[in-house]
Amino acid sequence: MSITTENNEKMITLMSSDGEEFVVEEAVAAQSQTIKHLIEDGCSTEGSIPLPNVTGRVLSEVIQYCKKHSSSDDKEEKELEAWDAEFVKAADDHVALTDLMMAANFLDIKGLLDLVAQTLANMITGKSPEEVRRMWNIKNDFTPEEAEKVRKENQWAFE
Amino acid sequence: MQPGSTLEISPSPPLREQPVCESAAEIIGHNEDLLTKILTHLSAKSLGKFRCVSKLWNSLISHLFPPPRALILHTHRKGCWDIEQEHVFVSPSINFNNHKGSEAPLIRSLTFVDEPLGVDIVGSSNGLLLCRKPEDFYDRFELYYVYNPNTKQYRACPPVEELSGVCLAYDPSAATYKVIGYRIDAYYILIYSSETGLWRVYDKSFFSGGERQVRNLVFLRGTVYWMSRRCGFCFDLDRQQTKEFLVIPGGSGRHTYFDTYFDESGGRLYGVVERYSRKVYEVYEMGTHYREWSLKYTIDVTPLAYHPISDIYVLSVVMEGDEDGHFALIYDHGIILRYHFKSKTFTELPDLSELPGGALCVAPVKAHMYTREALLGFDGPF
Repeated sequence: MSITTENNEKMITLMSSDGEEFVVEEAVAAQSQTIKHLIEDGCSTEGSIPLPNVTGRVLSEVIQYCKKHSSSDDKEEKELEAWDAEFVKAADDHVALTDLMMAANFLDIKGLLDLVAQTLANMITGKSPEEVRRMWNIKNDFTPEEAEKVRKENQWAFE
Repeated sequence: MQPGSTLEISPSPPLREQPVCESAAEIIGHNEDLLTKILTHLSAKSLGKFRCVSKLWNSLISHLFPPPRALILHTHRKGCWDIEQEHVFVSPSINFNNHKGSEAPLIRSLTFVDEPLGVDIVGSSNGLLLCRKPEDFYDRFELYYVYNPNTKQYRACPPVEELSGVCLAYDPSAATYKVIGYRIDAYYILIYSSETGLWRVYDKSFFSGGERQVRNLVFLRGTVYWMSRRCGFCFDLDRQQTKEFLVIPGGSGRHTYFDTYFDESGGRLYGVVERYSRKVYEVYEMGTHYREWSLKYTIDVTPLAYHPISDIYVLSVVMEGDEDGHFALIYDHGIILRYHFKSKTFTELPDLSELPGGALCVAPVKAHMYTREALLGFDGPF
């Protein structure tokens, strides 16, 4: 469904996987290359754009980010940096950040993807391999011999 | 990556007992694409440590680029200075049929292609080097090589008409690379892709400003940036779009040296602008949102002024990791100095003039980021 506001901004409706609808300005939504392509292909004229991979909770965060980083908005670099820092802090833990990263990846929003990837990287920097495995449910699939070998080769990184 | 290509990673409605978020966390630890995006933000040390996480992590990291650990000093006498070991090794001209320096300790040559005059290092990207056959006045075409110093393998690009500026863009997550060049007289960009094996002409419209003197090309996160005194441009390699880009403040108008350094370090763009008759250099850094240049450091070279100041150049700025470790490399009459931003002190590097490789360098020197071989068992694309 495409609606036009008083300011002549074209609005589009996004629908999350759990059926929640979000009406946003096209310029905001188009920061997602995926949505931009869908709009260009005429998918938005037939109703709302379904986003089967993104839940309403995550989508509302993504929209917050896109609104702040909308190109029509002339914000200062410092202000955006501070805002980004708060934004990822609010996402709180690695599970929420992971959701956000998958959404950013699916929606193809470069800035958000970079921001979240950097935050997750910072988060794991001080951790041990064991802690990282636990964090993301990764199975240690090395045999004890292989594990010993890799560990030895990379001993310098543990010092 | 095509949008939507990861669609299948979130299989339809998760079970009620299992919260969505948990499966998402599980997916990320096993998804090559997403993991690579996270891993590229880690330091060499963290990468080394995380090779132990799982087989997938180990293999991903071996194909990833390790962060730069050495700088290739691209001079008439090419040298490589190892940041960690603090030693210099020199490759006077990469293929060195008459290379006599190999018996000296700490000196290594990078020998590969059989070119009588050797090849010049003209760029680097994520562990790979871009090399060019030296100019031949009788030949209108140029030959470029992409070299992986770790595996000692190289690939040649087809001959191309003479380029005015060039850079290498290696994308480790796709294991593909591109060579991007432009021609000042022809107003277009030429791109060689390892996927097609061909050079192709792109956007012809970007030099509309009429400003032709362009500084070096810089590749950072999927985009190529270049800059002249009055205008900057960037070209998104995925989307093949050209956009205008902010010029470094003060880079225009005042007495500025044309070959002002413009590059990236620690994942950010920076530019070095000279001030006050070349006694002060200012290092500007681009914000992560690409909206503003901000002054990060100044380098006052007055203490070096026992020579005419006109022969002092900033070679490179290294802003990796902790701010305490940030430094600049400065060329001063054949000597290379390391300037620590925090302590504001200069330290001399080992004397390059003792090393083989020919005449004193008279031209401005360029330093290319380069990754110390074998630090992480870097495999690269070939």
